[in-house]
Amino acid sequence: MIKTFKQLFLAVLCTLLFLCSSCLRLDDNLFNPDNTITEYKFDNYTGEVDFRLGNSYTIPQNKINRLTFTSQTPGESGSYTIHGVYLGDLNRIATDTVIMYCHGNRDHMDFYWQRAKLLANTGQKNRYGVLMIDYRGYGLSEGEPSESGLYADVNTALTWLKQNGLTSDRLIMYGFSMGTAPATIVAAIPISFALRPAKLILEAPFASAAVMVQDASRLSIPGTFVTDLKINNAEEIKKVQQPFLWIHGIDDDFLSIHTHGEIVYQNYGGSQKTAIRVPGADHDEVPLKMGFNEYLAAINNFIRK
Amino acid sequence: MPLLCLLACAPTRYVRPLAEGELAVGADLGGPLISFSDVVIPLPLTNVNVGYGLTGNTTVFGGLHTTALAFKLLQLDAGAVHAFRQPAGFVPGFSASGTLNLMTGLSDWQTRLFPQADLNAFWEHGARRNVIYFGMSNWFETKSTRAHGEEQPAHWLPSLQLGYTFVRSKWDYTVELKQVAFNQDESKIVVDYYGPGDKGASGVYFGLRRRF
Repeated sequence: MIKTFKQLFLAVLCTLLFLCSSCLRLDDNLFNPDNTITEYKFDNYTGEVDFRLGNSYTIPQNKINRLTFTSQTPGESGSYTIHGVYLGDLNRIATDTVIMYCHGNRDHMDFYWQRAKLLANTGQKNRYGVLMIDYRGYGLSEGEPSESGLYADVNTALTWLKQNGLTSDRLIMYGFSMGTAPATIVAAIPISFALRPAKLILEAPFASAAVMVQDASRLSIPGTFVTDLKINNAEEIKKVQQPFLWIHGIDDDFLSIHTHGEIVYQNYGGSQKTAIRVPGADHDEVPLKMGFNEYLAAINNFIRK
Repeated sequence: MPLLCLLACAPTRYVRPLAEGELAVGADLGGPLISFSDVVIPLPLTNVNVGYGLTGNTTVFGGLHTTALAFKLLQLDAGAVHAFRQPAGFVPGFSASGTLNLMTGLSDWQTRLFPQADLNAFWEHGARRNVIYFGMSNWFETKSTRAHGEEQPAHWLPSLQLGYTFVRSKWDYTVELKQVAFNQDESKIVVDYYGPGDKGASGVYFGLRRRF
Protein backbone atom coordinates (compact mmCIF):
# COMPACT_ATOMS: atom_id res chain seq x y z
CA MET A 1 0.00 0.00 0.00
CA ILE A 2 2.84 2.36 0.90
CA LYS A 3 4.46 1.62 -2.45
CA THR A 4 1.22 2.33 -4.30
CA PHE A 5 0.82 5.58 -2.38
CA LYS A 6 4.38 6.56 -3.24
CA GLN A 7 3.87 5.84 -6.93
CA LEU A 8 0.57 7.69 -7.00
CA PHE A 9 2.04 10.66 -5.17
CA LEU A 10 5.02 10.86 -7.52
CA ALA A 11 2.76 10.52 -10.57
CA VAL A 12 0.54 13.40 -9.41
CA LEU A 13 3.56 15.49 -8.49
CA CYS A 14 5.24 14.89 -11.86
CA THR A 15 2.01 15.77 -13.67
CA LEU A 16 1.67 19.00 -11.73
CA LEU A 17 5.31 19.89 -12.28
CA PHE A 18 4.82 19.28 -15.99
CA LEU A 19 1.75 21.52 -15.99
CA CYS A 20 3.78 24.07 -14.12
CA SER A 21 6.12 24.37 -17.09
CA SER A 22 3.50 26.57 -18.74
CA CYS A 23 2.73 29.75 -16.83
CA LEU A 24 -0.74 30.26 -15.40
CA ARG A 25 -2.35 33.49 -14.26
CA LEU A 26 -5.61 34.28 -12.52
CA ASP A 27 -6.80 36.61 -15.28
CA ASP A 28 -9.35 34.18 -16.67
CA ASN A 29 -10.98 33.89 -13.25
CA LEU A 30 -12.46 37.34 -13.81
CA PHE A 31 -14.71 35.92 -16.49
CA ASN A 32 -17.44 33.36 -15.93
CA PRO A 33 -19.23 33.21 -19.28
CA ASP A 34 -21.65 30.66 -20.68
CA ASN A 35 -21.39 30.40 -24.44
CA THR A 36 -23.29 27.15 -24.81
CA ILE A 37 -26.66 28.70 -25.60
CA THR A 38 -28.05 28.59 -29.13
CA GLU A 39 -30.47 31.50 -28.77
CA TYR A 40 -31.45 34.25 -26.36
CA LYS A 41 -34.73 33.62 -24.57
CA PHE A 42 -35.01 36.76 -22.42
CA ASP A 43 -38.46 36.54 -20.75
CA ASN A 44 -38.67 32.82 -21.54
CA TYR A 45 -35.30 32.06 -19.96
CA THR A 46 -35.79 29.47 -17.23
CA GLY A 47 -32.21 29.29 -15.94
CA GLU A 48 -30.98 30.77 -12.68
CA VAL A 49 -31.37 34.53 -12.34
CA ASP A 50 -30.99 36.94 -9.44
CA PHE A 51 -34.67 37.89 -9.49
CA ARG A 52 -37.70 37.77 -11.76
CA LEU A 53 -39.94 40.75 -12.39
CA GLY A 54 -43.73 40.69 -12.44
CA ASN A 55 -45.82 41.26 -15.54
CA SER A 56 -46.08 44.97 -14.90
CA TYR A 57 -42.44 45.33 -15.92
CA THR A 58 -42.85 43.52 -19.23
CA ILE A 59 -41.39 45.33 -22.22
CA PRO A 60 -43.50 45.25 -25.40
CA GLN A 61 -42.03 43.04 -28.10
CA ASN A 62 -41.75 45.94 -30.52
CA LYS A 63 -39.45 47.66 -28.04
CA ILE A 64 -37.05 44.70 -27.83
CA ASN A 65 -34.48 45.09 -30.57
CA ARG A 66 -31.94 42.32 -31.11
CA LEU A 67 -28.65 43.68 -32.44
CA THR A 68 -25.31 42.46 -33.68
CA PHE A 69 -22.12 44.45 -33.96
CA THR A 70 -18.66 43.80 -35.29
CA SER A 71 -16.07 44.46 -32.62
CA GLN A 72 -12.36 44.77 -33.09
CA THR A 73 -9.74 45.41 -30.44
CA PRO A 74 -7.33 48.19 -31.46
CA GLY A 75 -4.07 46.69 -32.65
CA GLU A 76 -5.53 43.25 -33.27
CA SER A 77 -6.38 41.88 -36.69
CA GLY A 78 -9.39 39.72 -35.86
CA SER A 79 -12.93 40.93 -35.34
CA TYR A 80 -15.87 39.38 -33.55
CA THR A 81 -19.62 39.43 -33.89
CA ILE A 82 -21.06 40.80 -30.67
CA HIS A 83 -24.71 40.41 -29.72
CA GLY A 84 -26.77 43.01 -27.94
CA VAL A 85 -30.29 44.11 -27.21
CA TYR A 86 -31.79 47.57 -27.20
CA LEU A 87 -34.88 48.09 -25.08
CA GLY A 88 -36.77 51.04 -26.44
CA ASP A 89 -37.67 52.83 -29.64
CA LEU A 90 -34.73 52.96 -32.04
CA ASN A 91 -36.10 56.14 -33.58
CA ARG A 92 -35.84 57.95 -30.24
CA ILE A 93 -32.13 57.34 -29.75
CA ALA A 94 -31.46 60.64 -31.51
CA THR A 95 -33.56 62.59 -29.04
CA ASP A 96 -33.81 60.69 -25.76
CA THR A 97 -31.57 59.58 -22.92
CA VAL A 98 -30.01 56.13 -23.14
CA ILE A 99 -28.62 53.91 -20.38
CA MET A 100 -25.68 51.76 -21.50
CA TYR A 101 -25.85 48.77 -19.16
CA CYS A 102 -22.56 46.86 -18.70
CA HIS A 103 -23.41 43.53 -17.14
CA GLY A 104 -21.38 41.43 -14.73
CA ASN A 105 -19.15 38.43 -15.30
CA ARG A 106 -21.75 35.63 -15.37
CA ASP A 107 -23.23 33.61 -18.19
CA HIS A 108 -24.83 35.88 -20.78
CA MET A 109 -27.59 38.45 -21.40
CA ASP A 110 -30.39 36.06 -20.45
CA PHE A 111 -29.00 36.03 -16.91
CA TYR A 112 -29.05 39.84 -16.80
CA TRP A 113 -32.25 40.31 -18.79
CA GLN A 114 -34.37 41.03 -15.70
CA ARG A 115 -31.94 43.76 -14.65
CA ALA A 116 -31.96 45.41 -18.07
CA LYS A 117 -35.74 45.14 -18.19
CA LEU A 118 -35.99 46.74 -14.78
CA LEU A 119 -33.85 49.67 -15.94
CA ALA A 120 -36.12 50.03 -18.98
CA ASN A 121 -38.87 50.85 -16.46
CA THR A 122 -36.95 53.78 -14.97
CA GLY A 123 -39.20 56.84 -14.80
CA GLN A 124 -41.89 54.97 -16.68
CA LYS A 125 -41.89 52.05 -19.07
CA ASN A 126 -39.43 52.79 -21.88
CA ARG A 127 -38.87 56.30 -20.61
CA TYR A 128 -35.17 55.74 -21.33
CA GLY A 129 -33.58 53.43 -23.85
CA VAL A 130 -31.40 50.66 -22.43
CA LEU A 131 -28.60 48.99 -24.39
CA MET A 132 -27.00 45.78 -23.13
CA ILE A 133 -24.43 43.66 -24.93
CA ASP A 134 -22.79 40.31 -24.40
CA TYR A 135 -19.05 40.87 -24.32
CA ARG A 136 -16.99 38.60 -26.54
CA GLY A 137 -17.12 35.03 -25.31
CA TYR A 138 -20.45 35.56 -23.55
CA GLY A 139 -23.67 34.03 -24.87
CA LEU A 140 -23.72 34.11 -28.64
CA SER A 141 -20.93 36.65 -28.96
CA GLU A 142 -17.85 35.29 -30.67
CA GLY A 143 -14.32 35.17 -29.30
CA GLU A 144 -12.80 34.75 -25.88
CA PRO A 145 -13.27 37.16 -22.97
CA SER A 146 -10.43 39.55 -22.27
CA GLU A 147 -9.91 42.82 -20.49
CA SER A 148 -9.13 44.70 -23.70
CA GLY A 149 -12.09 42.96 -25.31
CA LEU A 150 -14.45 44.37 -22.67
CA TYR A 151 -13.50 47.91 -23.59
CA ALA A 152 -13.50 47.28 -27.34
CA ASP A 153 -16.95 45.68 -27.24
CA VAL A 154 -18.45 48.48 -25.15
CA ASN A 155 -16.92 51.03 -27.50
CA THR A 156 -18.47 49.19 -30.45
CA ALA A 157 -21.87 49.53 -28.79
CA LEU A 158 -21.26 53.21 -28.07
CA THR A 159 -20.25 53.75 -31.68
CA TRP A 160 -23.55 52.22 -32.79
CA LEU A 161 -25.44 54.52 -30.44
CA LYS A 162 -23.56 57.51 -31.81
CA GLN A 163 -24.30 56.45 -35.37
CA ASN A 164 -27.97 56.34 -34.40
CA GLY A 165 -27.90 59.90 -33.16
CA LEU A 166 -27.02 59.65 -29.48
CA THR A 167 -24.93 62.49 -28.13
CA SER A 168 -22.71 62.37 -25.05
CA ASP A 169 -24.95 64.58 -22.96
CA ARG A 170 -27.71 61.95 -23.14
CA LEU A 171 -25.60 58.90 -22.33
CA ILE A 172 -25.75 57.31 -18.87
CA MET A 173 -23.14 54.59 -18.18
CA TYR A 174 -24.31 51.91 -15.77
CA GLY A 175 -21.91 49.19 -14.64
CA PHE A 176 -22.65 46.21 -12.42
CA SER A 177 -19.84 44.23 -10.78
CA MET A 178 -17.32 43.36 -13.53
CA GLY A 179 -19.22 45.75 -15.81
CA THR A 180 -18.10 48.61 -13.58
CA ALA A 181 -14.66 48.34 -15.25
CA PRO A 182 -15.72 49.35 -18.77
CA ALA A 183 -18.30 51.80 -17.37
CA THR A 184 -15.65 53.57 -15.30
CA ILE A 185 -13.05 53.56 -18.06
CA VAL A 186 -15.49 55.10 -20.54
CA ALA A 187 -16.23 57.88 -18.05
CA ALA A 188 -12.59 58.34 -17.05
CA ILE A 189 -10.90 58.28 -20.45
CA PRO A 190 -13.56 59.55 -22.85
CA ILE A 191 -11.00 60.32 -25.56
CA SER A 192 -10.65 56.59 -26.15
CA PHE A 193 -14.35 56.00 -26.70
CA ALA A 194 -17.03 57.07 -29.15
CA LEU A 195 -19.04 58.95 -26.54
CA ARG A 196 -18.35 60.66 -23.21
CA PRO A 197 -21.09 59.75 -20.76
CA ALA A 198 -22.95 62.50 -18.95
CA LYS A 199 -23.31 60.47 -15.76
CA LEU A 200 -21.92 57.31 -14.22
CA ILE A 201 -23.72 54.71 -12.12
CA LEU A 202 -21.77 51.88 -10.47
CA GLU A 203 -23.51 49.02 -8.70
CA ALA A 204 -21.29 46.81 -6.52
CA PRO A 205 -18.00 47.92 -8.09
CA PHE A 206 -14.66 46.33 -7.32
CA ALA A 207 -11.71 48.52 -6.44
CA SER A 208 -8.91 46.73 -8.28
CA ALA A 209 -7.32 43.40 -8.99
CA ALA A 210 -4.86 44.16 -6.19
CA VAL A 211 -7.65 44.44 -3.63
CA MET A 212 -9.12 41.15 -4.79
CA VAL A 213 -5.73 39.48 -4.37
CA GLN A 214 -5.11 41.08 -0.98
CA ASP A 215 -8.58 40.28 0.34
CA ALA A 216 -8.12 36.65 -0.63
CA SER A 217 -4.55 36.27 0.62
CA ARG A 218 -4.76 38.57 3.66
CA LEU A 219 -1.29 39.73 2.69
CA SER A 220 -0.33 43.12 1.30
CA ILE A 221 1.03 41.68 -1.93
CA PRO A 222 0.92 43.22 -5.39
CA GLY A 223 -1.84 42.02 -7.69
CA THR A 224 0.86 41.43 -10.27
CA PHE A 225 2.02 38.41 -8.27
CA VAL A 226 -0.78 36.37 -9.80
CA THR A 227 -2.60 38.42 -12.43
CA ASP A 228 -1.86 40.62 -15.41
CA LEU A 229 -5.25 42.37 -15.17
CA LYS A 230 -4.94 46.14 -15.24
CA ILE A 231 -8.49 46.81 -14.04
CA ASN A 232 -8.32 49.49 -11.39
CA ASN A 233 -11.58 51.30 -10.73
CA ALA A 234 -10.15 52.86 -7.57
CA GLU A 235 -7.60 54.77 -9.63
CA GLU A 236 -9.66 55.39 -12.78
CA ILE A 237 -12.52 56.91 -10.77
CA LYS A 238 -10.16 59.73 -9.77
CA LYS A 239 -10.36 60.98 -13.36
CA VAL A 240 -14.15 60.95 -13.49
CA GLN A 241 -15.72 64.39 -13.29
CA GLN A 242 -19.26 63.47 -14.30
CA PRO A 243 -21.94 63.09 -11.60
CA PHE A 244 -21.54 59.70 -9.95
CA LEU A 245 -24.04 57.39 -8.24
CA TRP A 246 -22.66 54.46 -6.24
CA ILE A 247 -24.93 51.66 -5.01
CA HIS A 248 -23.58 48.77 -2.95
CA GLY A 249 -25.05 46.09 -0.71
CA ILE A 250 -23.76 46.37 2.83
CA ASP A 251 -23.72 42.58 3.11
CA ASP A 252 -21.92 42.02 -0.20
CA ASP A 253 -19.99 38.79 0.41
CA PHE A 254 -18.30 38.80 -3.01
CA LEU A 255 -16.95 42.33 -3.33
CA SER A 256 -16.88 43.78 0.16
CA ILE A 257 -18.43 47.22 0.45
CA HIS A 258 -15.57 48.21 2.76
CA THR A 259 -12.54 47.07 0.76
CA HIS A 260 -14.00 47.68 -2.71
CA GLY A 261 -17.01 49.99 -2.91
CA GLU A 262 -16.05 52.55 -0.29
CA ILE A 263 -12.60 52.99 -1.88
CA VAL A 264 -14.12 53.70 -5.29
CA TYR A 265 -16.60 56.16 -3.78
CA GLN A 266 -13.91 57.84 -1.71
CA ASN A 267 -11.57 58.24 -4.69
CA TYR A 268 -14.14 59.78 -7.05
CA GLY A 269 -12.53 62.84 -8.60
CA GLY A 270 -15.59 64.97 -9.28
CA SER A 271 -17.84 67.07 -7.08
CA GLN A 272 -21.27 65.44 -7.46
CA LYS A 273 -21.41 62.03 -5.88
CA THR A 274 -24.25 60.12 -4.29
CA ALA A 275 -23.99 56.93 -2.26
CA ILE A 276 -26.68 54.37 -1.58
CA ARG A 277 -25.60 51.67 0.86
CA VAL A 278 -28.26 49.00 0.85
CA PRO A 279 -28.83 47.24 4.20
CA GLY A 280 -29.08 43.47 4.03
CA ALA A 281 -28.15 43.27 0.36
CA ASP A 282 -25.61 40.75 -0.93
CA HIS A 283 -23.66 41.27 -4.15
CA ASP A 284 -26.52 40.48 -6.48
CA GLU A 285 -29.43 41.66 -4.31
CA VAL A 286 -29.36 45.44 -4.52
CA PRO A 287 -32.55 45.98 -6.58
CA LEU A 288 -34.35 43.24 -4.67
CA LYS A 289 -33.46 44.48 -1.19
CA MET A 290 -33.98 48.13 -2.06
CA GLY A 291 -37.33 47.31 -3.57
CA PHE A 292 -37.78 47.72 -7.30
CA ASN A 293 -39.75 50.95 -7.00
CA GLU A 294 -37.25 52.58 -4.67
CA TYR A 295 -34.38 51.39 -6.86
CA LEU A 296 -35.98 52.83 -9.99
CA ALA A 297 -36.80 56.06 -8.21
CA ALA A 298 -33.17 56.44 -7.12
CA ILE A 299 -31.92 55.84 -10.66
CA ASN A 300 -34.46 58.23 -12.13
CA ASN A 301 -33.73 60.96 -9.59
CA PHE A 302 -30.04 60.70 -10.36
CA ILE A 303 -30.59 60.89 -14.10
CA ARG A 304 -32.97 63.82 -13.88
CA LYS A 305 -31.26 66.03 -11.33
CA MET B 1 -5.53 29.67 -7.10
CA PRO B 2 -7.19 30.74 -3.87
CA LEU B 3 -4.63 32.96 -2.34
CA LEU B 4 -4.61 31.82 1.23
CA CYS B 5 -2.43 29.09 -0.25
CA LEU B 6 0.39 31.61 -0.29
CA LEU B 7 0.56 31.23 3.46
CA ALA B 8 -0.78 27.68 3.58
CA CYS B 9 0.92 26.09 0.67
CA ALA B 10 2.69 23.28 2.49
CA PRO B 11 2.57 21.11 5.57
CA THR B 12 4.98 21.80 8.39
CA ARG B 13 8.50 21.45 7.04
CA TYR B 14 10.12 19.64 9.97
CA VAL B 15 8.66 18.89 13.38
CA ARG B 16 11.28 16.42 14.55
CA PRO B 17 14.75 17.39 13.35
CA LEU B 18 16.81 15.09 11.19
CA ALA B 19 19.75 13.18 12.62
CA GLU B 20 23.07 14.98 12.57
CA GLY B 21 24.52 14.96 9.05
CA GLU B 22 21.36 13.53 7.56
CA LEU B 23 20.07 14.96 4.28
CA ALA B 24 16.46 14.74 3.16
CA VAL B 25 14.70 15.67 -0.06
CA GLY B 26 10.95 15.86 -0.21
CA ALA B 27 7.85 17.04 -1.99
CA ASP B 28 4.43 18.07 -0.73
CA LEU B 29 1.01 18.07 -2.29
CA GLY B 30 -2.20 19.62 -1.00
CA GLY B 31 -3.72 22.87 0.14
CA PRO B 32 -6.77 24.65 1.47
CA LEU B 33 -10.16 23.14 0.77
CA ILE B 34 -12.30 25.17 -1.59
CA SER B 35 -15.82 24.85 -2.87
CA PHE B 36 -15.45 24.29 -6.59
CA SER B 37 -18.62 23.72 -8.61
CA ASP B 38 -20.38 22.64 -5.40
CA VAL B 39 -17.67 20.07 -4.68
CA VAL B 40 -15.18 20.48 -1.84
CA ILE B 41 -11.63 19.76 -3.00
CA PRO B 42 -8.14 20.42 -1.63
CA LEU B 43 -6.02 22.55 -3.90
CA PRO B 44 -3.27 20.45 -5.50
CA LEU B 45 -0.43 22.77 -4.52
CA THR B 46 3.08 21.44 -4.77
CA ASN B 47 6.52 22.22 -3.51
CA VAL B 48 9.91 20.53 -3.40
CA ASN B 49 12.13 20.90 -0.36
CA VAL B 50 15.40 19.91 1.17
CA GLY B 51 16.63 19.63 4.77
CA TYR B 52 19.94 18.94 6.50
CA GLY B 53 20.56 17.95 10.08
CA LEU B 54 23.11 20.36 11.53
CA THR B 55 22.96 18.63 14.88
CA GLY B 56 20.64 16.04 16.34
CA ASN B 57 18.40 18.87 17.54
CA THR B 58 18.67 21.40 14.71
CA THR B 59 17.78 21.06 11.05
CA VAL B 60 17.99 23.71 8.36
CA PHE B 61 15.63 23.53 5.41
CA GLY B 62 14.46 25.26 2.26
CA GLY B 63 11.72 24.89 -0.30
CA LEU B 64 10.61 25.96 -3.75
CA HIS B 65 6.85 26.32 -4.32
CA THR B 66 6.30 24.87 -7.74
CA THR B 67 2.61 25.67 -8.15
CA ALA B 68 3.27 29.32 -7.32
CA LEU B 69 6.02 29.21 -9.93
CA ALA B 70 3.45 28.14 -12.49
CA PHE B 71 1.68 31.44 -11.78
CA LYS B 72 4.89 33.37 -12.45
CA LEU B 73 5.46 33.81 -8.73
CA LEU B 74 8.81 32.72 -7.35
CA GLN B 75 8.11 31.59 -3.79
CA LEU B 76 10.97 30.28 -1.69
CA ASP B 77 11.27 29.50 1.97
CA ALA B 78 14.28 28.91 4.17
CA GLY B 79 14.56 28.33 7.87
CA ALA B 80 15.65 26.19 10.77
CA VAL B 81 13.90 24.02 13.32
CA HIS B 82 15.23 23.29 16.78
CA ALA B 83 13.91 20.64 19.14
CA PHE B 84 14.33 21.99 22.62
CA ARG B 85 12.85 18.93 24.26
CA GLN B 86 12.75 15.35 23.01
CA PRO B 87 9.60 13.28 23.59
CA ALA B 88 9.56 10.66 26.31
CA GLY B 89 6.58 8.33 26.46
CA PHE B 90 3.42 10.35 26.77
CA VAL B 91 5.39 13.50 27.43
CA PRO B 92 5.67 15.34 24.13
CA GLY B 93 8.74 16.78 22.58
CA PHE B 94 8.69 20.40 21.52
CA SER B 95 10.25 22.09 18.54
CA ALA B 96 10.24 25.63 17.25
CA SER B 97 11.12 26.89 13.83
CA GLY B 98 11.77 30.21 12.17
CA THR B 99 11.26 30.66 8.45
CA LEU B 100 11.59 33.43 5.93
CA ASN B 101 9.20 33.27 2.99
CA LEU B 102 10.29 35.15 -0.10
CA MET B 103 7.89 35.99 -2.91
CA THR B 104 9.02 37.61 -6.15
CA GLY B 105 6.67 38.30 -9.01
CA LEU B 106 8.35 37.21 -12.21
CA SER B 107 6.29 39.66 -14.27
CA ASP B 108 7.60 42.81 -12.58
CA TRP B 109 10.13 41.56 -9.99
CA GLN B 110 8.30 43.08 -7.04
CA THR B 111 9.40 41.23 -3.91
CA ARG B 112 7.91 40.64 -0.48
CA LEU B 113 9.33 38.87 2.54
CA PHE B 114 7.23 37.27 5.25
CA PRO B 115 8.62 35.93 8.53
CA GLN B 116 7.07 32.82 9.98
CA ALA B 117 7.36 31.17 13.39
CA ASP B 118 6.07 27.71 14.26
CA LEU B 119 5.76 25.81 17.50
CA ASN B 120 4.91 22.10 17.58
CA ALA B 121 4.43 19.39 20.18
CA PHE B 122 5.19 15.87 18.98
CA TRP B 123 5.05 12.32 20.19
CA GLU B 124 6.80 9.22 18.88
CA HIS B 125 5.41 5.73 18.83
CA GLY B 126 6.12 2.34 17.34
CA ALA B 127 9.35 0.63 16.45
CA ARG B 128 10.05 3.09 13.65
CA ARG B 129 9.28 6.11 15.82
CA ASN B 130 6.35 7.39 13.78
CA VAL B 131 5.47 10.95 14.70
CA ILE B 132 2.16 12.53 15.62
CA TYR B 133 2.24 16.26 16.06
CA PHE B 134 0.12 19.26 16.85
CA GLY B 135 1.13 22.85 16.60
CA MET B 136 0.69 26.41 15.53
CA SER B 137 2.15 28.22 12.55
CA ASN B 138 2.29 32.00 12.43
CA TRP B 139 2.81 34.25 9.44
CA PHE B 140 3.50 37.92 9.98
CA GLU B 141 2.60 40.74 7.61
CA THR B 142 4.92 43.64 8.37
CA LYS B 143 3.53 46.22 5.96
CA SER B 144 1.23 48.83 7.47
CA THR B 145 -0.62 49.69 4.26
CA ARG B 146 -2.19 47.81 1.40
CA ALA B 147 -3.57 48.72 -2.02
CA HIS B 148 -4.69 52.33 -2.54
CA GLY B 149 -3.00 53.44 0.68
CA GLU B 150 -5.51 51.70 2.90
CA GLU B 151 -4.50 50.34 6.28
CA GLN B 152 -3.35 46.72 6.23
CA PRO B 153 -5.84 45.05 8.57
CA ALA B 154 -4.09 41.77 9.34
CA HIS B 155 -0.56 41.45 10.68
CA TRP B 156 -0.77 38.05 12.38
CA LEU B 157 -2.04 35.06 10.42
CA PRO B 158 -2.01 31.96 12.59
CA SER B 159 -2.78 28.39 11.57
CA LEU B 160 -3.26 25.23 13.62
CA GLN B 161 -1.97 21.92 12.33
CA LEU B 162 -2.40 18.27 13.29
CA GLY B 163 -0.26 15.74 11.46
CA TYR B 164 1.07 12.23 11.37
CA THR B 165 4.30 10.96 9.81
CA PHE B 166 4.77 7.32 8.92
CA VAL B 167 8.45 6.60 9.18
CA ARG B 168 10.04 3.89 7.08
CA SER B 169 13.70 3.02 6.68
CA LYS B 170 14.47 5.76 4.15
CA TRP B 171 11.11 7.31 3.41
CA ASP B 172 8.72 9.42 5.49
CA TYR B 173 5.04 9.87 4.60
CA THR B 174 3.14 12.73 6.17
CA VAL B 175 -0.50 13.68 6.23
CA GLU B 176 -1.47 16.97 7.84
CA LEU B 177 -4.71 18.80 8.53
CA LYS B 178 -4.48 22.54 8.91
CA GLN B 179 -6.85 25.32 9.87
CA VAL B 180 -5.43 28.33 8.08
CA ALA B 181 -5.78 31.94 9.21
CA PHE B 182 -8.45 31.02 11.71
CA ASN B 183 -8.60 34.59 12.99
CA GLN B 184 -9.69 35.98 9.61
CA ASP B 185 -13.25 36.47 8.39
CA GLU B 186 -13.51 34.90 4.95
CA SER B 187 -17.22 35.53 4.41
CA LYS B 188 -16.89 38.62 2.22
CA ILE B 189 -14.26 37.73 -0.35
CA VAL B 190 -14.38 36.39 -3.88
CA VAL B 191 -13.03 32.92 -3.00
CA ASP B 192 -15.22 30.24 -1.40
CA TYR B 193 -12.88 28.71 1.13
CA TYR B 194 -14.18 25.70 3.00
CA GLY B 195 -14.00 25.39 6.74
CA PRO B 196 -15.94 25.67 9.96
CA GLY B 197 -17.87 28.93 10.07
CA ASP B 198 -16.51 31.93 8.22
CA LYS B 199 -13.07 31.88 9.79
CA GLY B 200 -10.11 30.91 7.63
CA ALA B 201 -9.91 27.77 5.59
CA SER B 202 -9.29 24.10 6.28
CA GLY B 203 -6.48 22.36 4.42
CA VAL B 204 -5.28 18.82 3.73
CA TYR B 205 -1.66 18.08 2.82
CA PHE B 206 0.44 15.06 1.94
CA GLY B 207 4.22 14.91 2.13
CA LEU B 208 6.83 12.50 0.92
CA ARG B 209 10.46 12.63 2.00
CA ARG B 210 13.55 10.57 1.21
CA ARG B 211 16.33 10.57 3.78
CA PHE B 212 19.97 10.01 2.84
